[in-house]
Amino acid sequence: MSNSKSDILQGTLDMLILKSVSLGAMHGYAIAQRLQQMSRDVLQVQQGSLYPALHKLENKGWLKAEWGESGTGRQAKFYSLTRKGRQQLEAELANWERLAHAVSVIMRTAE
Amino acid sequence: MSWIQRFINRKRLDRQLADELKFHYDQLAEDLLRQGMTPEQARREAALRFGGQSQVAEECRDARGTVRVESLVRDVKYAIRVLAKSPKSIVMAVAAMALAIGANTVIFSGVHALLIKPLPYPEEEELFMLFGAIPGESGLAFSPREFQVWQTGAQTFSSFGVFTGTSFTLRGRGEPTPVFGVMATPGVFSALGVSASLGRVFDGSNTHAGHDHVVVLSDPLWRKWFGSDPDVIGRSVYLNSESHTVVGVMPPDFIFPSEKYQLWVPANLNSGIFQRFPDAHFLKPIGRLRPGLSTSHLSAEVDVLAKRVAELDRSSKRSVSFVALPEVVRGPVRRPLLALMAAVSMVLFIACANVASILLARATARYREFAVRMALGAARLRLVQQLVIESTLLAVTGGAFGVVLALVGVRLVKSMGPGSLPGVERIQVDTPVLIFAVGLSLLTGIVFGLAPAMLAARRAGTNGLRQGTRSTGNQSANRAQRAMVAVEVAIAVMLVAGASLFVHSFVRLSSINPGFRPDHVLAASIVLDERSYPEENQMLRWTRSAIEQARSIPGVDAAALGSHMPFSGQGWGNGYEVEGRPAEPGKGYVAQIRPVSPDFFRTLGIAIRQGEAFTERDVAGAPGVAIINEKLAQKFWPDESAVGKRLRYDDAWLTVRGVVADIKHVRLDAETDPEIYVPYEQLPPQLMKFVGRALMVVVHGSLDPTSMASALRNALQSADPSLAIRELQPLERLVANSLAASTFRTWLLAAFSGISLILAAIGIYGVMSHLVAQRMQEIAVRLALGAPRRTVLQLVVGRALTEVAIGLGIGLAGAVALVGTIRSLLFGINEYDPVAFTIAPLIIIATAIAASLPPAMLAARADPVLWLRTD
Repeated sequence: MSNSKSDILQGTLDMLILKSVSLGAMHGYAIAQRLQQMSRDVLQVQQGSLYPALHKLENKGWLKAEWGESGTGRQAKFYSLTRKGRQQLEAELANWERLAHAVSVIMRTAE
Repeated sequence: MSWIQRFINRKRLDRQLADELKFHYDQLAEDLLRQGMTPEQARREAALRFGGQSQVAEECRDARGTVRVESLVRDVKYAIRVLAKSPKSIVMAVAAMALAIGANTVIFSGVHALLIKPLPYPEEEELFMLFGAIPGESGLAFSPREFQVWQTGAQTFSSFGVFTGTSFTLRGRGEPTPVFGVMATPGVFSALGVSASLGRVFDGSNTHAGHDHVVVLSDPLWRKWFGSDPDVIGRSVYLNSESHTVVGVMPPDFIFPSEKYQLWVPANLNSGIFQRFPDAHFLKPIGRLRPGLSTSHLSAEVDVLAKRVAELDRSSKRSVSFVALPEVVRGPVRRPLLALMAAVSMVLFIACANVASILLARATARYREFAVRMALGAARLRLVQQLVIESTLLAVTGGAFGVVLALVGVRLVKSMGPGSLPGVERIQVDTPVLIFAVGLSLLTGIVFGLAPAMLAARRAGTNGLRQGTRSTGNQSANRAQRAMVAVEVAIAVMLVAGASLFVHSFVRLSSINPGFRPDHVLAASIVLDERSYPEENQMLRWTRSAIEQARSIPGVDAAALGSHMPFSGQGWGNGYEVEGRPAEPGKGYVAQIRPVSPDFFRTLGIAIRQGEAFTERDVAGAPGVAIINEKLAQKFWPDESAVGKRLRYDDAWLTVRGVVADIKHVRLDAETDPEIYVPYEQLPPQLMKFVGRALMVVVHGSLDPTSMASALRNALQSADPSLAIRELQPLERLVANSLAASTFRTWLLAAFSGISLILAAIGIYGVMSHLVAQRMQEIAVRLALGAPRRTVLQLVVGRALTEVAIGLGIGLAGAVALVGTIRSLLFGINEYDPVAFTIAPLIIIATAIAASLPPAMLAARADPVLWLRTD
């Protein structure tokens, strides 16, 4: 279960979750919908796999969770970014941009 | 929340998780419904897009980080269920562990209290005691003159002092109470470095007249006598009729020099006995080494100062040595305790072999269960973990019971009295001991559960679900079991042999004739203190009146008294001369001097070999007489009568009136010293007032002990009501107390060998039950073919004996090899004593027969039809 492909995917997923939540508290379903929206359906992940990631981020202290009323009136668990989470998001963003830049440079020069 | 909180709240978190996932799924289904799917399609599509709920839930739970602990808890619960299913073997395993851990905890509590725990003084390794030695004797005390030399000359000590123990009568509140106390110079307290918890300890100012009547109390004495009164400082109390002011109370765990001593008074070296007997050796020096100095400095100084002392003292060949205080305290107990630890570890070993054997038997019976689990994907490690958890649970439960047993055991040990082991009063089951018990349980559980577990898991893996694994898979387990029984028997034999040797030795020891008749003799100890009895005529008035009163008790036919009586713990060694037999230059004769009243020999039933006993007429002013013992008589007059010969220990020549049989004075197994009995009345006044104050009154009578005791107490108190009677007990008990150490050893080793026999019996029982179960078919066939039930019994018991034979052989060989180490503890018997070495194997054989009888009888009574029908 731990090959490099899913590790990268896991790390990316964490970053995307943090980004989604940075705009405001959301419950898991809303995050899933937002991710689909943002990636324009490119990212196809099983919606369920969101939750282990959410719980891990919550245990790490980057997300905090509260139970509240959803739009439909049902009780749902809402996640929001903590200060540490915000710092983590910025760090990961910076990393990602560096990585993307490096990859594109390599790809371009190889031609 | 931290992972601990997550673990505790896991049920609630699981529920929340389920709700959360359901919410998502429902929302998804709803949206799909709104997009136009049918409810069926919506649900299916939602499930597809979401993924398996249970798998997601599981992954979320993993993310919680408490997985390992949760699975451990689950394993423990499962282990408990499994263990509860076969109570009989589990009870045996727990019982075995309880006995072994209990015994080990008891011994460890002794080791901890007496060898490991630091002494109640700071930097205990800097404290040293000094001892004198002459050829033939060591551990001697110093004299006041010697102390002066040391006090002025010693450079290597930062503080230095001397002390001596003495008995006091405490008065001022209620009954006069006998108490042991210490006279010490202030240097002793500064050397020890412990300050009082209330008030202060005494210092240099308290060694001068006018300021020296102060006293420091021990915490227990303060609690008992003064009721923990916080205003006790400044109060007065009477010690031997002299008023002393309380200046301090020591902290609760302060002990010096042993638990016996409850108060400390300053020693004024310019007065009292120090002034009058400057060459008497009764002071014990203790000092603290200056920081930075080593024992080589001390050694050099000891040499220098010992020479200086030798210049003062005429022809003594006296040398001085030093011993670190921790060694003084721990030295005497080290060997016995370590020996006990060795013995009790053997018991532990047997118990572990038992438990391992039981676990192995159970594990082999569960092959199928393991094989199935492994087929379903369980890791072998997980199975081993499961089994180790079971064995650890067993061990810990056993350990818990063991601690309870240890509490009882420690109380029993302490009840054997102070003579059994120096410092035994200090033993208790405190925190470090409990930690030891817990640690030992866990360790044995894990270590001795591991081997059977790994064996079983491997077997289950290879043989798997194959049918008929009973015969092959069981073989190695069987062999292991029988090997363990052999080991158990070997160890049990060694313990039983050791115990038999001790018991035989003890029987020999306690049947030694002490030379006098201790039965029906009552002994009362009193002290005639200086304040109430300053002069010898007052002392004599009391002694005469006491004997009168004692003799007039109805039922008493003889009464006597004396100082330095047999088994009183007192001795008086003195040089002596024999008329016409000068000693070689540089040597002198030494004998024990015993001042007694005339009826002494009659009261104690000591046989008179030559001449006659003392009479009422042998008083001060009359011609000096003495009675010597056979040892002395043999030394100088082997072929003639000693009566009429003359000798002296002091200035006056004494005529020998008679010769009496040798008696044991201190220990039954010690040689008798040459003894000179003198009439108490004829003691020179100075000596009577110095050594003649601690007396023992003995009466011989036909009454029962209790009524005689109260009658004697009344009689003595009528002579002087304010005199405290320190001890009143049958002389037999005093003699028995001298055997306390030997009694202690023997009982403990007997207890351990008893435990090891029980454990070995359990092991044999287990193996035999197993073997019987395996061979039931064969036995059933024999019974069906008409064999009498008796032959089945013989078969099983005979098999048991062959199993035991190997262990027996090894054990006996081991015992013979190791028995040399206890030679010094045995009395009157050779270490290869045939009696002990015959009894030990017989006991083992009897145990083996007894242990194999239940399975044998079960087999013999079996209905062959039943057994032949099933498979």
